[in-house]
Amino acid sequence: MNKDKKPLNQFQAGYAVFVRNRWAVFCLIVLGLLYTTAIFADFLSPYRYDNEDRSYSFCPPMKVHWKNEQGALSRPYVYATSFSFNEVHRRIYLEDKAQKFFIRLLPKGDSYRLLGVIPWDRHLFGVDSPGRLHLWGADSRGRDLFSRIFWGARISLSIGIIGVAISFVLGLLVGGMAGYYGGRVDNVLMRICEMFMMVPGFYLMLALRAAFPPHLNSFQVYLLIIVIFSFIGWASLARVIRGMSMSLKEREYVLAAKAMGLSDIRIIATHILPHTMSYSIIAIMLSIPGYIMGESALSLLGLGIQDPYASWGNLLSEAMGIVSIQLAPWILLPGFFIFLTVICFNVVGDALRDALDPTLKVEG
Amino acid sequence: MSEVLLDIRGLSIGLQQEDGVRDLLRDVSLNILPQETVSLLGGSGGGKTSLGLAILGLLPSAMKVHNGKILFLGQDLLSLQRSSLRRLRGKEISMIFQEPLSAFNPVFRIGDQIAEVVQEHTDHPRAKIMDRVCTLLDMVEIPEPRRVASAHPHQLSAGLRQRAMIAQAIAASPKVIIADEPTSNLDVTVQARIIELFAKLKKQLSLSLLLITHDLGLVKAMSDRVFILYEGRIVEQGNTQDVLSHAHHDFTKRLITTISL
Repeated sequence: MNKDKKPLNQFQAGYAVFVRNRWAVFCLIVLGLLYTTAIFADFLSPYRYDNEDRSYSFCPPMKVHWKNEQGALSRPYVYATSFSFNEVHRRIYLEDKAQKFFIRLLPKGDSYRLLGVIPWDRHLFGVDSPGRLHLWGADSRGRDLFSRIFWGARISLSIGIIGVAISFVLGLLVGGMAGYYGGRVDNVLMRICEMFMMVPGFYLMLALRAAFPPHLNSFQVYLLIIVIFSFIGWASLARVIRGMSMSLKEREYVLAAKAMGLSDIRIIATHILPHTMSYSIIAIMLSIPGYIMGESALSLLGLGIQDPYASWGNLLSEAMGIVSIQLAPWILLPGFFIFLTVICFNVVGDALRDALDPTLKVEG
Repeated sequence: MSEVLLDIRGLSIGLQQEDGVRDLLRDVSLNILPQETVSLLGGSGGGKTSLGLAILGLLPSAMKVHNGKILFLGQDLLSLQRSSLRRLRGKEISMIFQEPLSAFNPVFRIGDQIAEVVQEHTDHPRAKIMDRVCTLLDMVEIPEPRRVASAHPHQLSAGLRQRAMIAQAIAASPKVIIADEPTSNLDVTVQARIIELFAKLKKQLSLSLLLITHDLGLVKAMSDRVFILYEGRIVEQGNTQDVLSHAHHDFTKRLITTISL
């Protein structure tokens, strides 16, 4: 035993490997930022998700100016926007140089409750009315896309985490028990799993959604989506965990634990499932994107989160027509965020696997 | 003579194979008195370990007990319910395995694994459990119990690991310990100290020991009585001294000559 160094536990050793992977650390930071923006969306974004002004329909991203007319540095500002119609009666937005709106810190705006409790009406930045600030453009109803992406992150990002949490608890429990007990328990549990896996996920999702009334309020839909996803997700995990726990239960330390009279639940929880952790963690990381994409798909089809609430999926649903993409390419931005999140989860998941695989020993 | 603690009567164990059932143990009878060390001596693959597992009801599914009784304080373990048998394991009868490296879970600290047993069988308050673990490690003469408790199995020497395993086995103060080749992975000097340790603990905790081994030296050093297992049967039994000095069966005689060579 090494005397001068405190032995590292599994996770400390894993941490050392993980931080060496710069890409993964970067992606983790990006994810951290995304989740932070989701939590503080109401403060960070200049408008509420449903703040609309029809005169800004499909207003393109506004240019933020740093220099005044004389070319000297100035506080950042945007010009007022006016529009005219072209020959096919589409709006053409122009900067109205006569009127400037300075971008201010902490202006008064829509009221909200910070972290769900503290009532407040100031936002990180914005412009005073009657000006409007659309950094990333506006959608068909003139709602600020920047704000709506932040608000949408709340739903899109949390569905992944909560859905995964539920389905993994289920999967680990069912898989662990099936593998450990074997025999009839295994048979029954696995046949149930197969029933879920038999139906292609997306159709099962649609069918389950159809089984519930179409007009639920947004919070109910949100919960429903989470439940549906966890319902679909647990089966494949349970099967893998079952296989692993079948082989793990033959280990001598499991026999030793039995010989010491430990209860089955304790043996499953402390001597079998922890050994599936490196698999589970990577599987968790890699399946969160699936939930995010699933929610996007449902919302894109109009079965998920409904307007005026924002999720990345239903923001994208506006980008379904080729005309609107041509006209207002910025409404594809939520797609970029989905892409970014999915990539980050994959990279982090991969790095975690390298870090937590107990067969890889760390020196130093 | 005091009451028999563990009494195995006419135990037969069969191994299920593709072409039928092969007998592993045939009509094996063996008993252990309180505070006695009994050895079961036999060759490799002779079903010694299976006997140990059968007592705890932990035979692999391919093996079946098809005859006999295992009485612990008069209670037949074979007809006991799963849950009551589980409560008996570790608490009344516990087992020490041959290879502590694989008998400990590699990802948890030694201390936590011993604590688990304490937690399962005794009602120590949570805060006191680690103290109890250190006391146990101290009882098996491990220096710096705190440090060993916070070590992972692979960080310890084989001798320390075996001691930790013994600490785990005595954690719930059982009456009988089944020791399956407890010293065969250790070098001779460590072996000698483990033997001393067993002798000390036996007195201290009034334990009975069922020693499963192929090592005649260990049998000589430790056991009061010996049962010789050959081809699934008990071929000789009695006082260790008597059996070893007046061997009747060929197998015993061969064993003795190989040792004295």
